[in-house]
Amino acid sequence: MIRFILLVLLITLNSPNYSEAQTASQIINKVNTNFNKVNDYTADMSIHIDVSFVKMKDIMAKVYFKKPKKFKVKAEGIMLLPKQNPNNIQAMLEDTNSYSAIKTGTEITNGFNTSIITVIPSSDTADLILGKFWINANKGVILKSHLTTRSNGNLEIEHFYGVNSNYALPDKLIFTIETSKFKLPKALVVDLGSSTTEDSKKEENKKGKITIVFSNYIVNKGVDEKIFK
Amino acid sequence: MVYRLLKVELNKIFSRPRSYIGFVAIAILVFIFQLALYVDGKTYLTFLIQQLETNFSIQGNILNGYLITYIILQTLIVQMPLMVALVTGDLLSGESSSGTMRLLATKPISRANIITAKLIAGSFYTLLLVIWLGGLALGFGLWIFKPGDLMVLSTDHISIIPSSECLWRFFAACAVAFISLSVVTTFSLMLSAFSDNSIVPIVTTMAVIIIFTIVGTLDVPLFNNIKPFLFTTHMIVWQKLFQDPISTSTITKSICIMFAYIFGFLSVTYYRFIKKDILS
Repeated sequence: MIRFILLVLLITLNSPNYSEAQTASQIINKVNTNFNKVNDYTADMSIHIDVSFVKMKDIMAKVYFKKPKKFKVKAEGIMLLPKQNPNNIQAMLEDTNSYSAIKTGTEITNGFNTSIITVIPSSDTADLILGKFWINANKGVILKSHLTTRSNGNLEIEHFYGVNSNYALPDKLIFTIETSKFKLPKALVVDLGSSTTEDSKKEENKKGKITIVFSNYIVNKGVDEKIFK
Repeated sequence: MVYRLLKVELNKIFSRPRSYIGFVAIAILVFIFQLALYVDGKTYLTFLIQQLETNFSIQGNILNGYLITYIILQTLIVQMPLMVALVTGDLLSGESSSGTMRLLATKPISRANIITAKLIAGSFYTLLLVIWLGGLALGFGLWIFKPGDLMVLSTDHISIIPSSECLWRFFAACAVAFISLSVVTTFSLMLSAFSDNSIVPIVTTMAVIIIFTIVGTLDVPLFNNIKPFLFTTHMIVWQKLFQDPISTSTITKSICIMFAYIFGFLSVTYYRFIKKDILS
């Protein structure tokens, strides 16, 4: 009899539907537990910007993180980064008293069963208005985030993991951002050669993509405090 | 013979105080720009990139020597034709008005050689102006503001050029700017061949450039068909060197059109001067 109960329990725990049985806070806690294993990390970062009004080559940078919220990206030249960095999201999720989380469904994302967790911040002055996270409850990693913010409008982030998935550290992030039409007065930039084309007239409220690829992660090997100054 | 004539022509150009107006004006303007951007550059930039900051967090030294040089070139190259015309518009008509043309024409020198010497002297002056502007802007810019990636702000997009690619682009831009200004040199030389008065070709060149620039700048559909035929439209093609990817075909096309203008203006000048009945 005991063997039978154990077998039923084991099958239930291993089944994909197990995540459905978990509450939103339990799923988020699993993500937090994974990320809490990380005290610090450094990684190489390659940023590719695919936004209609930005023309630049890929940026190579180095990212440094140290608990609880120290985050620094260093590059040799000018660097454009998405306003929301993934550590901000993680830091926000860790402060479980600052929001209410509700599980609003399940979905298959990138071939994995995910629970959709909707997060509503308690403070009405926070930049984040609404967050929706597609979380692989079995692995405790976020696979997709959809954020509605006051400053940037809607933002979607796709997370892809490799060997550091046990730390919830992604190998690749794809940010999809809303971009409004970029327009500067001709006289201000002395751009005498430009003229308004049909294409530029159509460019209002397009979407842009920023792809960040992480490599050479060094996790929990210590990061010098001086880097963050 | 042309070499000796050239030495005489260069001597004439550099013995006139008006030839130095351009150099002094450029030095003053570059100094004013550098000072203004050193004091208020960050405020100016903050205003320019505020739209970009709604989507991105921007890091790095944007206000660097290359950006300062680009801003200066972009602003001053528009005024450069006027400085060039001040000297080159006077090359032939100045001789006529002062009565030395007849004396020059009596020498055993072909009229074609006279024009060739004047053309080379005028082009040399133009080249010096471009080098002076580029050298001052880039030299002081890099010295005061240090190098860095160049953020080129246009009306509808931004391009970021890596620091390692900036220097050759500036040299190429100066070369293209020289070709552009050579159009003005030959245009004013052509007008100079038609006039016995120094002021007329200088003022006419300035007026034509101002009118063409205004027509080219106005974003009115009526003028869109005319714009490709205005040489001022192609004179600003150096800016395309600061886009990524570089539109080689557009730059080559504009350079070819400018050379066609140069050839056309020179042909008229040679024809007119060789056939001219020199009475003064």
